[in-house]
Amino acid sequence: MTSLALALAVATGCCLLSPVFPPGRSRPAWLGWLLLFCAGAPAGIGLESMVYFLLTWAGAASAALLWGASIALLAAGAVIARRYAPAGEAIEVPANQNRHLWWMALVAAAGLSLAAVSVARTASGAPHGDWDAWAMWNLRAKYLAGPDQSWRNSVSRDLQSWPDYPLLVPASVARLWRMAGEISTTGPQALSLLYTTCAVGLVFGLLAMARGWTAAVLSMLPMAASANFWSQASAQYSDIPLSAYMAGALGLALLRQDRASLMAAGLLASMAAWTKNEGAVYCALLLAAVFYFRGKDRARPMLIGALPGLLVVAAFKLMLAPRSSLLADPIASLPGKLFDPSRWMTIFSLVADEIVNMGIGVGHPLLILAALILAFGMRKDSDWRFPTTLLALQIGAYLGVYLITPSDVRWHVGSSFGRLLGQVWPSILLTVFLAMQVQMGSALAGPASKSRSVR
Amino acid sequence: MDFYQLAAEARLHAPDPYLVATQLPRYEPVRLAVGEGVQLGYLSNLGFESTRGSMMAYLAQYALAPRMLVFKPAGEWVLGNFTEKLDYAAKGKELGLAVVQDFGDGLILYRRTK
Repeated sequence: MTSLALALAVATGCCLLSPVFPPGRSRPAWLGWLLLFCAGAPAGIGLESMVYFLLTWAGAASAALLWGASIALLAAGAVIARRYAPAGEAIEVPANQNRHLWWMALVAAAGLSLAAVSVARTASGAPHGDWDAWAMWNLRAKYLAGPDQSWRNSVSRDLQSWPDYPLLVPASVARLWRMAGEISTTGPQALSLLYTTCAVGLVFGLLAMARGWTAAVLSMLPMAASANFWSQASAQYSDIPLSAYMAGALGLALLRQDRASLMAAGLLASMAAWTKNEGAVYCALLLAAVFYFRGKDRARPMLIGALPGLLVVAAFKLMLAPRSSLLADPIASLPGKLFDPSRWMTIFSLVADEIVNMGIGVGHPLLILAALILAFGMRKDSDWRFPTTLLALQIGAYLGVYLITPSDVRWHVGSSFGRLLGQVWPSILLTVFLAMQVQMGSALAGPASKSRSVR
Repeated sequence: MDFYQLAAEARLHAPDPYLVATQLPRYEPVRLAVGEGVQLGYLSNLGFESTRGSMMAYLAQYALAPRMLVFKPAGEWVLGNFTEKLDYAAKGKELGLAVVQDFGDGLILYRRTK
């Protein structure tokens, strides 16, 4: 039953996004299916989590009603897929011109296989996930899946584990448990592995369609070497799901100009806001960046796509969530923290340690990335201010929180920055490899547009 | 490559580093005895500031959810979670708590008397 409940959510998301990634008009078709799955699955799971949360809040989240709602959503998704199926030309991957591609593909495949084996062994050894999974995310899922008013425990001020955080992952897990009629480790494990697959698949698929096979394959080298990212793959946290929403929203906002794609970018950005507080910051920054760099005509459909999700997030934040513990200290203490040089030094030193810990030795992903940039060079015909400004501001927001945190700053940075790097890592790879001089031309300009520039 | 080897070896030697799977059955008698709508306070010989103490508290909270477990000895019902043999009744009496049930293995259910 868990598989069926998950499959319904995935299928609904794929139907909703099929006008954006029509697999029947992609060459090769499997790449279209890959993109549709990797963008559609997170969208469907996020949408279903919102429905679950709203039904729970209304006191109507019975298993029967949940099954009915899921089937109704799938039917609505199928109608949308049929109604808005684009009728443009086939989307083709730019032809590969690099004669070394085959062995690069072998190395990347070997690296990803090793990562997958490591993830599988970790997942089987710790079925309840890592610390934050049982102390926070799955704990809140148990409250949300409980009887009567016990769901309110998930936003109780008495919880010490960030009860102000939004509920995409706990509500998704609770939905699976409620629909299956039992609490098991299968649901959260499946979600964790699914989101990892989608984050990696989005980077590969978007790059393949925009820049060709060489860029896509090369991007998998630092991805496979990202020990930090893979160590979170089976942790059952919210950071990898967030990374998938961030990469999907950025990819669509960067590469597509048609209305449906921009609405889908907005939808994924709103899901990021429903996943974690950092996602809310990212959603706001992405909408502002699109407005500033691309103009209001692009920002408007994104905002329309994001609006339903943002309304749910706003309702949660304004009516249920307790005040963030980040705001526990009096405002008068902030200048002392902000202008304390030793605090800045401590933060940068710890952040540097975490960056070093992203990988090991010569296989460190940043070394691989630097070597590839040196070997291939960066394109000079595009303006990369949009994605680089966005990601720089997002990382700046992370560091800003460390500056004002009421917690011990060493503990806060040490226990979180590795995960935060995992959030932005797929988006960083997407941005760098779109800018790399490995393959010109884009097949991802969208059914309604011929433009291929990336600004 | 080194990382994947290290990760795999670490999991082989400590497949469940926080002992979640082995700890959850310990709380099963409490789960069966306490209604799902009950809020429990918490009392332990280990402080929350130690890793072991906080791990035990969070594990108890996870195991007993959807019951709410608050990390202080407050409210009508309080869960005692001890790692050493103590005079549990005397420990509770200091806080106005009486032992209702001893589940063994350091797990005590208290009820407030005043």
